Amino acid sequence: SANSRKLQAGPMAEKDKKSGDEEVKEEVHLPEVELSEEDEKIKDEVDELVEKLQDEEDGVAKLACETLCTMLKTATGTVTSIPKPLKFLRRHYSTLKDTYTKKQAKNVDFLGRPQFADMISLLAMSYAKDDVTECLAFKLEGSSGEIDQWGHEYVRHLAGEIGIEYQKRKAAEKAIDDLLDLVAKILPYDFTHNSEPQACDLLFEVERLDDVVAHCTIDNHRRGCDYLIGDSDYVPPPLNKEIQKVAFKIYKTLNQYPLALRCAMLLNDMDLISETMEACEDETMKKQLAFMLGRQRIFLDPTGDDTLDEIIGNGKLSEFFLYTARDLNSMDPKTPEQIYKTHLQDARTTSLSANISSHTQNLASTFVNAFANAAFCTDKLMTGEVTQVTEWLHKNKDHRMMSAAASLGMIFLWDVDVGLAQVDKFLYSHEEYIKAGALMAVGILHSGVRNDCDPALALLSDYLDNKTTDMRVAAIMGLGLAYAGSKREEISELLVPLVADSDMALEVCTFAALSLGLVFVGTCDENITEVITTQLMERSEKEDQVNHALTKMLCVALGLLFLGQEENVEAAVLACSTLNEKIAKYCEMTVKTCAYAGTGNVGQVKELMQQLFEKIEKEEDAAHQSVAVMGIGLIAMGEVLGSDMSKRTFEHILQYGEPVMRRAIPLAMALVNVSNPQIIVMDTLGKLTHDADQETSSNAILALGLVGAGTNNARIANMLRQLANYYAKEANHLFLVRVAQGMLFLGKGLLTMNPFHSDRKLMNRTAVAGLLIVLHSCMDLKALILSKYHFLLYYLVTAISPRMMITLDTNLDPVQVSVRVGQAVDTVAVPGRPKTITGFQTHNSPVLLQFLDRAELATDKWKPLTPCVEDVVILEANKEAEEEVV
Amino acid sequence: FFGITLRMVLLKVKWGGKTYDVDVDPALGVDVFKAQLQSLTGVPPDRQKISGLKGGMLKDDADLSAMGLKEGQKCMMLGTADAIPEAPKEKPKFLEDMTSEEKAKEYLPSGLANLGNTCYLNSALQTMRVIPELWRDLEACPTQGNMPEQQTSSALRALHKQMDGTPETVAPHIFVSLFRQCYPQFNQQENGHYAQQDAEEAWSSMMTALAQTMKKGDSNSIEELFGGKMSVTLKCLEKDDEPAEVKSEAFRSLKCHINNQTVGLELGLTEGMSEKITKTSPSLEREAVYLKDAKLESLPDYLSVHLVRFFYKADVKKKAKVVRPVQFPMVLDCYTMCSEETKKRLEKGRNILSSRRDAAVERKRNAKKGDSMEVDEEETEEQKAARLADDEYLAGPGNRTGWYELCGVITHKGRDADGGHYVAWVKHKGDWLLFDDNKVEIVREEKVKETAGGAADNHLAYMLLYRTRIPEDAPNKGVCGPP
Repeated sequence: SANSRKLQAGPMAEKDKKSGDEEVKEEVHLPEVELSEEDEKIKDEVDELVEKLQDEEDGVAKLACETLCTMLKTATGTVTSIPKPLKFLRRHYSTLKDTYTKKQAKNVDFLGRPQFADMISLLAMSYAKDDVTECLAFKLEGSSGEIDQWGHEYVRHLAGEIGIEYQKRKAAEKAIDDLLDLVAKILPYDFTHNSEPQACDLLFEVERLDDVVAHCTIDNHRRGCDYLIGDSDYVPPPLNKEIQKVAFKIYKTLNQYPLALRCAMLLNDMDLISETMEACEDETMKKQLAFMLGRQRIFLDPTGDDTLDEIIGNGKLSEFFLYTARDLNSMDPKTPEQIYKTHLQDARTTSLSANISSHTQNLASTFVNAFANAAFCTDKLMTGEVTQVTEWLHKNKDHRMMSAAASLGMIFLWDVDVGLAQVDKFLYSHEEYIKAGALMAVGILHSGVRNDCDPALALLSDYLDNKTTDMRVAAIMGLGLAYAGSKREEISELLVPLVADSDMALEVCTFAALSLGLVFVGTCDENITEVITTQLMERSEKEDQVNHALTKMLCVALGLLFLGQEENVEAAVLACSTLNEKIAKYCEMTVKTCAYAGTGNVGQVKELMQQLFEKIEKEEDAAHQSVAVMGIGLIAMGEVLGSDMSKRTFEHILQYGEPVMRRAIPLAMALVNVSNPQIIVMDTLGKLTHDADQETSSNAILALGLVGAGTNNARIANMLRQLANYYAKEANHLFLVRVAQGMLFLGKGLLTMNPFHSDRKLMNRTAVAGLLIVLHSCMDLKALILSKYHFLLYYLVTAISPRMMITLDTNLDPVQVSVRVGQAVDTVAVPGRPKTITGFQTHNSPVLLQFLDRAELATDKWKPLTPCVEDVVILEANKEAEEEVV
Repeated sequence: FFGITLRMVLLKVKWGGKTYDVDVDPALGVDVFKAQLQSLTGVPPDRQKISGLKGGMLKDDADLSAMGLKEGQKCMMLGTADAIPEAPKEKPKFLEDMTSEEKAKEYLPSGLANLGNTCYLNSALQTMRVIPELWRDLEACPTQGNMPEQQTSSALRALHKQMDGTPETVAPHIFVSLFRQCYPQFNQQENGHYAQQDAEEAWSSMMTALAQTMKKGDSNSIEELFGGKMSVTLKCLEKDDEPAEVKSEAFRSLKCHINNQTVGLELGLTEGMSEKITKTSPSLEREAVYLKDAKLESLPDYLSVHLVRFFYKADVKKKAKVVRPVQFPMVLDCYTMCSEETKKRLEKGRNILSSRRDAAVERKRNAKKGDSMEVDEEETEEQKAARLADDEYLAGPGNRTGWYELCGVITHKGRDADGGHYVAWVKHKGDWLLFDDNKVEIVREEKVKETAGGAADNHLAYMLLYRTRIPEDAPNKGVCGPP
């Protein structure tokens, strides 16, 4: 009876003995239920084997250990339940550990030690304390051979402990060789078992990411690289670039040129870009790479191959765009009235005789016409009979005529040959404003296009010393737009003297600086930085200029030079802080936010938020807070999670922020969602369009246009039509509503202004630059866009790209294939072969892609040269498929 | 011979989307090159701008041989042979440059702000503004005086002037307060707010005030414009030999009673003019049934018609509304409502206008056929004189044809007179305008016709204003003719 009492008390007594940490685990499990006969048998068997394991005789113990191991391996059980032997071994865990230590104390390498250690390692995975790396410790003790004996989950767990252990040893400066040996064993396992992300994680933890390259093969690299690139978004610099470089190396080693090039462009490393171009030997593939470069507006030095140079210089862009437009049946020009849908309004609200019109509204129509018919080379106002065109030009009073003439550049966007011929006649106009506008048009139509004859440079440089300031400004702006992102030294030679001259009119100085900022965007050019900083210093000492909106634009010019250059910005920011205190903070903030554009850097966002806490009495001293708010958007825009989070931040600022911060909210939201009308953004902006604060509502109206740019979104269209009625009597608001309507129908819905492309991975810097100039100028609409600098709106042209996907055969002739278009699905680190798009529809190429869309071929007769089916894609006939058909 | 072939360089010149191959002799200079280009493209040399060669834009004095031209080198020519655009002869006018008065002429007439249930007054006012004669006379007459009516009238005049001078919405504060002082029934308040009132009552009150002010000898302007006469015959139906009593009655507006049979305005008016009444018969010396038969004797310039849509419903103690549709014509013919004598008087005017219309129709038909020869028939002196005489006759005072053109409608929306909303529809320079307090917009004529009724909860015509003469600024100016 004593025995039986002991048995009854057994479990209780044992429980009492358990140390605290095990109790925690105990709670998770249900109290032991009555076991089935079968289970009882296993339990007894396990208990017996454990008993034997403790046997003094190593041979017996070894045998018991081997039997247990076999039991553990062969016990299948169901997927959801713990294998029974493992379950019953649980209460023996500490006993086994003790036995191991005891045996080892007796004989360091006792018989059957490796197997014993391996087994404990497995048990440790489940039963060890959370913060001890016992699993790893016993594995290191155990057999050095097999890593996969306990299966996939065990390897994962082990890898995790290696990471922890590595950090510990690194801190203690201990040897790590045994860890690395283990890593070397885990890697092949991971790479052959669809666990590339885990392999990358492990290597990243042990700071040996480069080793990943050797393990990647053509079959398994995609998942690994996707994971690396996806991962790099959440890693602080400079590590993120390291990761991207590894991905580049993998692609490069495996001759995956399009992806390697994309990675190089992500790194914005010109050396890697040329390296990729040179490494690629296949002529057709080279063309595909050239198209990708063209889309990112990276103008490599001429390669000598005419076709390649033409593609890189976007010389064929207009042709392909117009092909798409014809195929989609959208060639008919749209008039501003069609966009306003005046016929839908039941009644006209004003009746005016034909010869009288409002020049503000005519100017709006000019922009609407320019945006809606952009790149179509035909419209109803600017490309008809000369008399009609001049009549329209003169309906835009005085300086507005400039924008009207410049709109010709938008209509002939990318078609340099035909466009220049059309613009040319206006260069002979007797009206100075028209001449100036024509100069702008020359620049606008060149945007994103490189022409080896350099007509824009030849033509515009003649007007840089013109007597008329307007003419100068127009030529300067034209140069900036035509050579945006080209880093052409000639431009710097021409424009730097204009900036450096302190006696020069402020507008000439500012526009020259902006053009330099565009041409040398993200280059950190020292010479230009110095010249602009000096001007900021001198001009901020002048009473009449320090608070001028154009002086603030000078800061933007400086910021553009550092766009996306987070590593190299410190010196410039320091220089900004020495400026006159009235502008120092504004400038500092502008340059800093530019440098972190699209990085999703959380630390910087926090710092910007800090800026908003400061309570500032005078509104004019708080301008930098607007920049900070916009900066949050600018930093967050590159990355999905960040942009979602930014929206919440904006809501808070809307509720609790000062007017000066609220004003920038629409601009920041627009930046995050350019050409990507999400319902929540539309709703917030819709509310703000009726805000009591004039500036906020004006900005919200423009923001609606930007958010819908090129989407024809019906909801925004409706909102804007209602706003047109609501603001019918407020000329400035109505003007902005009209402009927004024009943006919404940008290129009749065939174009986009979103700077991100190539699966939303790449940020086009010239596009961001153009957007930034316009958005910054919105901070002071009254002084700039609503005053005589309306042509600032044309800076948006650098952001304009077709949202088409056109397929070409290897001779670069368009070919129609069936394509599936659907919403992109994030497949990074998803096991198996997940679908990359959802809710797709099948169309014939060319097709239009929304911002969140992705396309894939629906036929296997063709093979795309790049896995990223966007923009221009060259197709190769798929020989394998043809054979199958035969 | 060799020398020449060696010297020649082939340049590929791009122009307007085409590429031209040009054999250039570098020794010959730029002018020869440009002349070659002119023969190919038609662009005169002074408009040719050539880029893509060394040194930016090719200068006329440049030395081609020093440029290191390469065989097949590409360059680009800019320039058009197109005419240089000239500024349009007629300078466009811009709204922003116009003064408020100029704008007011170009814009739609200004609206009136609602000062709290004043839509009845606003619509009456806007309808009144369509009568140019009224304002001309009001401007001319002296309006000194302390009588409330006089003060109201001068406030009205000031308001009209203000509205003429601006395209913006006007808030008629002064007029409304004076008007309420003058006619305290409009001062009635409900729950601290001014109550909704009857637009037709407001209209007649304003007319009364103006009549008091705009005295012209014995008569007044309102009487001249709106005053008509009808002869009323009272015939006793119970005693045949009692002589019919005939008297003349003056009216300033016609009432159209609406009963279950009423479908159109003309019939409604005619029915209203002959009705049975009971009154004391002098011969029978008791109450007897009489037939009261009214006929129009003289027709005013402006005919206002009141559709009696509101009646007091005792059970709900409210002025309820008759929503029955009553069609009204764009051109109203009062001929059938006139007495025989009057009809005879109207013959002349009606004949003139009818024959003119027939002639116009004839001309149109001929013009369609292409018989332009007869259309241009010269008018003889006699014909001209006759036409002028006719014009003079028609221009005489009062309505001389029986035809009236609809120029204003006040409509009411809602279930009873104490609530709802009034708006005015007014014909302005040939277009129909809808005045909904501060909102003014152009509407199609069909919209006006729809206020006759038919759809539930729509605006229903409540008061109609017809005019004889169509003002100068409308497309079909002159005397209103047959439809």
